[in-house]
Amino acid sequence: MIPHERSLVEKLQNRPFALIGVNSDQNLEQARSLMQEQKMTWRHFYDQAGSGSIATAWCVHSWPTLYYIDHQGVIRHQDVRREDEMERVLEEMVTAAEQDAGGRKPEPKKKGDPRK
Amino acid sequence: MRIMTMTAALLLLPLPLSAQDKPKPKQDDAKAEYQSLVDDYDQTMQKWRKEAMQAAEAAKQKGGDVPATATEPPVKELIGRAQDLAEKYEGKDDAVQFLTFVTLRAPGENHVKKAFTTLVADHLKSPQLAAFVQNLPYIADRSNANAVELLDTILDKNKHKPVLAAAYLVRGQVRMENANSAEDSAVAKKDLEQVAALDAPAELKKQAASLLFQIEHLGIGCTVPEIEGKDMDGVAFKLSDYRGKVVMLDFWGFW
Repeated sequence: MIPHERSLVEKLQNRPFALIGVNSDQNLEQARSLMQEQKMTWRHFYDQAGSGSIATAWCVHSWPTLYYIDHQGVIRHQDVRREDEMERVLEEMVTAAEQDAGGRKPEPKKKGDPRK
Repeated sequence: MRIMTMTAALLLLPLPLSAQDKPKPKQDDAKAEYQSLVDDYDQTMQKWRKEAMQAAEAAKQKGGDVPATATEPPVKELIGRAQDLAEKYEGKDDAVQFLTFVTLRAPGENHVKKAFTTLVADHLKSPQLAAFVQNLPYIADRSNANAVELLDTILDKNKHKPVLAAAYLVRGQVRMENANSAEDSAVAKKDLEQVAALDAPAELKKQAASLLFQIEHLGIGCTVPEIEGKDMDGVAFKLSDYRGKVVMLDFWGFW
């Protein structure tokens, strides 16, 4: 999971994409040093478990739980976990974001998108 | 998979039958008998978990196999006691808590099935059925039964509000987990709204409200709720700071 996420972040780094974690570890310091060890450069909400937590508000009962949110803030997918599926879904969403932002495509090698 | 984990969360709730009254050491008091059974069970499990962990650790260090005692809790005698008590109160409402105890905690499939069959045959109208209903997806899974069908029957036959509230909550939850369309979600939503309408216990209401929030705000096509929090360095930020970008939101932990 983590190595694949790392490669996603790298691959999409110049495009309108952000991976945001919601970390529910009890021990903040320990989690932070493990993140450094694993070279997890993306941002996380630190979410201490308890009734006021983000995970509770979002009714998260199993970890990891994934939400895919488009550039307008609309939830498009949930719990897509297979690596090739993840890449396909994200590519589609990121391309749509780029088109909405003015049609500029920083990665011109990708062609033949069926959208206008 | 998700249903299982949610059910596990439900299991952690105190069973309404057990926690309320202080046990009186009267001989023929089903409530006291139940309380002492649960206490003994908790104690046994606590002790066993500790020993099992030590045994597993020792086996790991020696490189040998984990002993069988470390994989199966020693609850045979307690399950037997629950079965005896269920028999003592056979046909009466007081039997329900002991049968439910067996369906939840017996390790062997046969014991579970037998208690389950008795509950379904004799007690679907009982006012004491709430704990059974709350854990029904888990119990039905252990008994190879269809949870939704049974909930339909209970909602049809049982007239007691706490039982009905639990049944609507659980059916709504199962329907929600299985929903594949907006119509499916709408049907699940109706069940969950019934929980509030029935003046259910606070804990059930809270769960229903949280599931309704999930349907109304966390489904595909919903505008994502705001998250305001702090990052690992204590710097405040919001989810909406990232509008304009695609966000993959990942709930996770190293544990």
